[in-house]
Amino acid sequence: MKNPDSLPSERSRLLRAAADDELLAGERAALDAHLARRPDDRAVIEFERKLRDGLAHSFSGSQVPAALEQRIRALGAPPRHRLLRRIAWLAAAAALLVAAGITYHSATRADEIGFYGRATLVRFLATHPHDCPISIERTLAEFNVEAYDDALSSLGNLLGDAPALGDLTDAGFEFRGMGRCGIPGHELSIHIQLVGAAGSTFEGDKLSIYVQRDDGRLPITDGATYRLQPKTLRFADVGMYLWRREGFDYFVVSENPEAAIIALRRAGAPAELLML
Amino acid sequence: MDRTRFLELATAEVNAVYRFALRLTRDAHRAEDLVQDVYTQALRPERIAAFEPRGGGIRAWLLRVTYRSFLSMIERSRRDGAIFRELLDGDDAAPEAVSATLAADFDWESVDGRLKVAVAHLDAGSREVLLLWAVEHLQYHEIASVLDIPIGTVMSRLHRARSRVSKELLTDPGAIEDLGLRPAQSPLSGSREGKRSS
Repeated sequence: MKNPDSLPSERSRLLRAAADDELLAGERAALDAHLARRPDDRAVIEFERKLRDGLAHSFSGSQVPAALEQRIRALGAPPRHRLLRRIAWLAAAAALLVAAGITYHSATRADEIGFYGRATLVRFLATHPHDCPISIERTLAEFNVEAYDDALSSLGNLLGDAPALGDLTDAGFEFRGMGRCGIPGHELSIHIQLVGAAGSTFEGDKLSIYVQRDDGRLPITDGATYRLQPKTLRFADVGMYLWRREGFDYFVVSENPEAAIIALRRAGAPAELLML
Repeated sequence: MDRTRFLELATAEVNAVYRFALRLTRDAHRAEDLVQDVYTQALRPERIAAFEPRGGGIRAWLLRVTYRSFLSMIERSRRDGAIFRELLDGDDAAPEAVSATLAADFDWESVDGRLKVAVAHLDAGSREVLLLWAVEHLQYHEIASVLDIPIGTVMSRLHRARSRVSKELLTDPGAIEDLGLRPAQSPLSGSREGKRSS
């Protein structure tokens, strides 16, 4: 049995349609006839309009943040302007590179990750290394792998091809294990976890590498490494980097910035660094 | 449609898209990501070229893209498991069920107290229809298009929502005064209607 409240009578349907300017063809005459019989119902129409105005006034307070509005407008800028702006940023970043004499330089990028992207991806990458139950025992049982080299070899079987990932164990990292996981938006990603070896400057710090087949959904291109910048302070100290090469996406995550940078170099990440 | 004109119309709707995204996601950062994703999709040349304001104007079209994007995110989150666990709150994540979580911790602080209470008491489906109608000024067929539900469902939900909100407000003389209403202006709340129907 239906709730009677959900079934408008002809009178209420007509009056509300009038208040909403939603009268169907021919209903104007019916409304006029009704109001001639029930002139008080004009006040009902007015009430309905005022109620709508009151709701609109009460619930329309949220304004889009100015920074977001600017990004939206930048998205709509003519492609040529966007290209010039990107070139300008790259030029500025290159100048910084020369001046500082450092390996990496940064630039800005007008692109964006899809919805489940930035906020979700940041949260995943920042928390997953701590939450996942990786251990040597589990890795051995599940993959018959107990060393980093074996893990690299097994990636070819798991992902259908062999990704290019450099050796990290001679840079002061110890293999902790590997596991299957799904980086948001992907069916299968492989997580390799390492930890800073005793005596290294990042002793005990976790380092996570994720590898997955690229499906083109990440707004990145080959030839650059991207730093994923958290918008929230909570994850501001976590180094999160990604790059794409020959059909694979690679992610490097560590709460120790130095460990992350060393891992990037050892893993073979492109030297050009862009912000995402 | 000409790109410049499309851009002008689309960016003019960014507040409506943001409000809707905020209600759906209940999180400012996610709402921002959703809005940016919507405009990234909307401003692709092929989308502009193929733009057809089916079921309403560009606002309805953008809100429909917003809702579809949100549902896609929910679908992905089912696979991803933990990422949006708090968003799903253990619910089944069907469109209405997702909106049902709004009542729990949506920020109502800026909303007039009496309307806030009245609207919060609505079921999720009716509330979303009511706000798209009242705040975003969508017509019935546009709401149907945005939420992908029959227009009859829109009308019955809207009727139910208005009746219940009116009924709650009418029990509060202060609300009647605040809204500039006179007691004689009886709304079409369910309980009174039967007695007055012609």
